[in-house]
Amino acid sequence: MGIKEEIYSVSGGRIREIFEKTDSAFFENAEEIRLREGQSIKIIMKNKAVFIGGNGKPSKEGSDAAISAEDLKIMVSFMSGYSPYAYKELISSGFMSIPGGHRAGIAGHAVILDGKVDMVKDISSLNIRIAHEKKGCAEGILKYITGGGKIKNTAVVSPPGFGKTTVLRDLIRSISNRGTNVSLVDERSEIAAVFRGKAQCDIGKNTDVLDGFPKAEGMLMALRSLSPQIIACDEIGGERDIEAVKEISVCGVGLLCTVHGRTMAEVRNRLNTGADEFDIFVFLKKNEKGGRYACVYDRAEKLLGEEELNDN
Amino acid sequence: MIIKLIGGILVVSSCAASGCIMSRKSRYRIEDIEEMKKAVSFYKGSVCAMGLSAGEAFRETALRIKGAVKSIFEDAAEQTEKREFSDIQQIWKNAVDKNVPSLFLNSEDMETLYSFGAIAGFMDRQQQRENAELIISELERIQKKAGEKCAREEKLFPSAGALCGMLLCILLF
Repeated sequence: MGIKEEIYSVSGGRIREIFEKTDSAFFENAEEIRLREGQSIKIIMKNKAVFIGGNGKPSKEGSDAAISAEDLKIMVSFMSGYSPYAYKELISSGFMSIPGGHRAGIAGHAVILDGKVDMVKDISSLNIRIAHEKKGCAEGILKYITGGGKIKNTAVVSPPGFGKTTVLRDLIRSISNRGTNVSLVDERSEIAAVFRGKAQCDIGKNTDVLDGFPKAEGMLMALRSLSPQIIACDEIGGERDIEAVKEISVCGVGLLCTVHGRTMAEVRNRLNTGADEFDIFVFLKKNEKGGRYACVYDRAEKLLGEEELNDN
Repeated sequence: MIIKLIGGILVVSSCAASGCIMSRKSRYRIEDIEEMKKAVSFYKGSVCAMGLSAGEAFRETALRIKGAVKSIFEDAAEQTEKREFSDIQQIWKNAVDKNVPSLFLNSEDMETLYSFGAIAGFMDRQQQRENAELIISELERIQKKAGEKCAREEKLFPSAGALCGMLLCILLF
């Protein structure tokens, strides 16, 4: 199934009609599809953005194909299989997973219950982020984290938008396919992109996914019940995450995590003493042309090497 | 004379059989209501305890029930996956309408059956639970009434059929 078919399968109302007429090349090259009430559909690609008219062809902004609140409501209903209640936790976190591993960010009015966001109503925009799996993108990093029959505890570090999750997913897949048992704690369904119980992304043959589990609870549960050799987790940082990381490390199970940050100082600030549990730090960076590369450091902050990431 | 006797026996027994068949319709109606009650209960469990979406709950429920009600849930699950209708109430109505010829329900039962479509989907789990319980209690009420009617008809229809047969015999011979 192509990206167009994946998005089309969960589209409803007028949006569905427009998508049906839209060239699939726009979907294949899309990074984001923005659906805003009162505006035309906007497809954002690597170097440009186009508005889509009612005939499915590029048109001027504010053309005849403005999306209504009802269209967005139907779209959310379709994305949830007519069952927003079943995805309440995700919707209240501001997103939903859809087939193909894509994610739809949701904006609207928050319904607050006991001080927490219980639901989002009056949905005014959806941002569908297109998942492009880049198999082999982290191939160059593997040699730094494997060695002596053991996977070193590794933290992939970067600010948002540099591809931490993509690199982590590729590392998990490579390591898992080599026969290592990996337990993946995927709190926001971003790495395996589980949709209705099925991983939409290739995460390897020996990976067990704990989908939707809070990170710390998921990591400790995996440690107790799944006999993993590696526990992988996205965006660690809270106090409980750090405690879990320490416990896992003591038990001799490997760690593969991502952390928000730009420098080692920021990582230490975020992880505190938890940073000492990691052997390798992979910092993701972008060059002037927008290409991504990784700087690999050891625990003593010694640069081990630089590797270009294969983005193709 | 023997031919007339045989003919008379045939007329009386076939009229009595028709009465039995008519009384069986009430029994089938009760069975349909019972299946629907079971189905709503399974659906409630699938949604409230297992957290399944409406389509998944339809499919899961269809695995546990039988007859025409099973077909309704199967059709509803299929149409939910296809996403051809804008809301689940339309999907449910469509699935019910498609299976009406195989059901033995009357208009009151059908109204309750259609109302199930309104509870599926949009509302939160708690509200769906409450509404499902409401429908189950309504089905129980209908089933009780249908049971009393069925008991009366099971006695009445075969004997009424036999009497009609005798009347026919008298008139014919």
